Amino acid sequence: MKRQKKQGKFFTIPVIIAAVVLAVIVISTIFADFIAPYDPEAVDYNASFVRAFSKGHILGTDRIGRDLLSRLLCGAKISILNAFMIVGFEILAGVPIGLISGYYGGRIDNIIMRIWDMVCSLPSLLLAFVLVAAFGKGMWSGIIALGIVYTPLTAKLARSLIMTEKTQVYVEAAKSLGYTDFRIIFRHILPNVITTMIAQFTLDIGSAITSMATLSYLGIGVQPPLADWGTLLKDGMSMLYMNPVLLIAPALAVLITTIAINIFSDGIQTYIDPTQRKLPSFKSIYKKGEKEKKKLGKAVTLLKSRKEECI
Amino acid sequence: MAEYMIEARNLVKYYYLDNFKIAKSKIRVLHAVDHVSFNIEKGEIFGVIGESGSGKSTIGKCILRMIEADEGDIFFDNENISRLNSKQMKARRRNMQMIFQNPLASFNPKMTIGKAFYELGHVYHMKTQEVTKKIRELLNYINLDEDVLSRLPKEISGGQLQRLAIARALMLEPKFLLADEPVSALDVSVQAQILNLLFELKEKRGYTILFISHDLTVVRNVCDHVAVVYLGVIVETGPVCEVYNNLLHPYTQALLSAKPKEHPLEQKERMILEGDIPNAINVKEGCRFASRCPKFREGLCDNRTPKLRDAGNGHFVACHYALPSDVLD
Repeated sequence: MKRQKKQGKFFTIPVIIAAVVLAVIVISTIFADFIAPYDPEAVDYNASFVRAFSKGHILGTDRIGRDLLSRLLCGAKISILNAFMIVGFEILAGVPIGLISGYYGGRIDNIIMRIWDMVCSLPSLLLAFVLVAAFGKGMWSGIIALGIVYTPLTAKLARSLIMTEKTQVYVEAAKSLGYTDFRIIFRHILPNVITTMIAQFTLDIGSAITSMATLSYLGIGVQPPLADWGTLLKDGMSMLYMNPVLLIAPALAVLITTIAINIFSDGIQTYIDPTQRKLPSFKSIYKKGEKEKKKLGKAVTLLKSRKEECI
Repeated sequence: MAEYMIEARNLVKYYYLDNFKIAKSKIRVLHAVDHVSFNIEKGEIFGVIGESGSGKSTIGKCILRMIEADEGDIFFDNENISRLNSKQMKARRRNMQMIFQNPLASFNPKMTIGKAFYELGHVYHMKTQEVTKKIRELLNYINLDEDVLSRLPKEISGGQLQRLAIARALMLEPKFLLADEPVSALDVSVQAQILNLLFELKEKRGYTILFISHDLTVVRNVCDHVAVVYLGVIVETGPVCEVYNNLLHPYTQALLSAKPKEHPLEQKERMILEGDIPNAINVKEGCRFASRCPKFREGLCDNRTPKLRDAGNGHFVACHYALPSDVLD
């Protein structure tokens, strides 16, 4: 038997555009080392402040002659990898905590959720600054700090999802079969709620990129000589009057990536949640109906003639 | 003396609705199950009937300890299981399985049927070959093809799925089955298949089944013993033919008079109860049925809780005026 296909389209026009943009970004990030025309850290004093769109350097160079395009590509690698690591941290820490506290409820749930409420009540970036200050500045402490800041939201999402799911009969059935709680939570309930969570995770990747860029921009995230988009922004800011492209290019990179991710995750969300789906327009339904009618026309006339014969 | 598979003694389950009230007297208590005792013999089908909200499912789940009873003892195969911890309980879960009302909801929607069966086998340390053999045997028994194993629950019809649910319950070869309204979500033609299957299980394989239902005719056809539950208490119990032929409790009489006529020319008096089933919150002393009872007499009914009294042939009834010897003034 064939599986029934889900109704509704996933690939609407904005989602296609976002997907293409994301694909380009991800592929160029993966192959950054091969695509980049220059070594991103190669210093060339003869070619400082080359203007954009000139020969050799498409996006120009900075004060000490490093090629901006190469730096942007290699920065993308660090930025996106960091964002994935932040989201990974949040999944590994937040999802199990949320699932367990939602499944068991009671006192454990109360304690965990009050702690999370405390974390959530502070502005997230401010808290991240404090944590970075505590861990000592650097890329890894930035990742862990942002991971900790993002964890409560994921935990709350997982908790609310499992609280509605655990009253389902199949969970009760699993209990009556004598399965362990661990198996029920992770083998039975998790696959049923993961789709809703995935939309949230993709959205979080977008905001993780911006947050990490913010930390780097303020000089407490990624440290030179490594450069992500935030550090590039910071460098570009100081050289705004010499070569504005140095600021605009990384800013645009952050902007485009985040927007593409948001649109893509929106698409996922609409696909998963049928109530948000756009219905086909009346015109298209009508057209489809007309087509079907034409197809059916022959059969109908045949039927009619047969009926008349019978009478 | 018959051997009992299940003995429930004084089962009590209260739900406390306001946990944080300081004045203790104001805490509302829902009496879901109130001092219920009954015995289930080995190899019989024991029926529990009652309105919705009368606590029949709660009784069933208390026996399997899916819900923890507040008081009372449960003896399973002459072993008191009401004080066991969850680990000890898990070892005994194998012997007691449950069938649910809605077959579609009782399977994990993201898992194919085959996966669900194999998982069950692996959890109980059966070898893959053993599981395969067992599944073949069960599918053969419930008359289904092997290609259902690759399907998701939503792709299978209700009746087939309920048979699969029974097969899943049988896979561990339990001693006791709890069937919680197993046919009420199915249409009548399919009901018969499921009931026949359950009956066959009892007759040929000697399973003990607790059958919870609100369908009177079904209980009459299938069960050996029956208990009528009203607001968390058993009002009448006994062998099926005894109870159905000699209705003593006014509630049972009303319940049975609501059953459709079996023959168009059948003469039947309809006994209509007034009002809904009352709230089980903060039940007062006295008969639970007093507010709707046609035999209600002031003085006795609203002051003293009736106990189950012997009416002969294993037939018990909890009513002050049910027995022929009781005089109505």
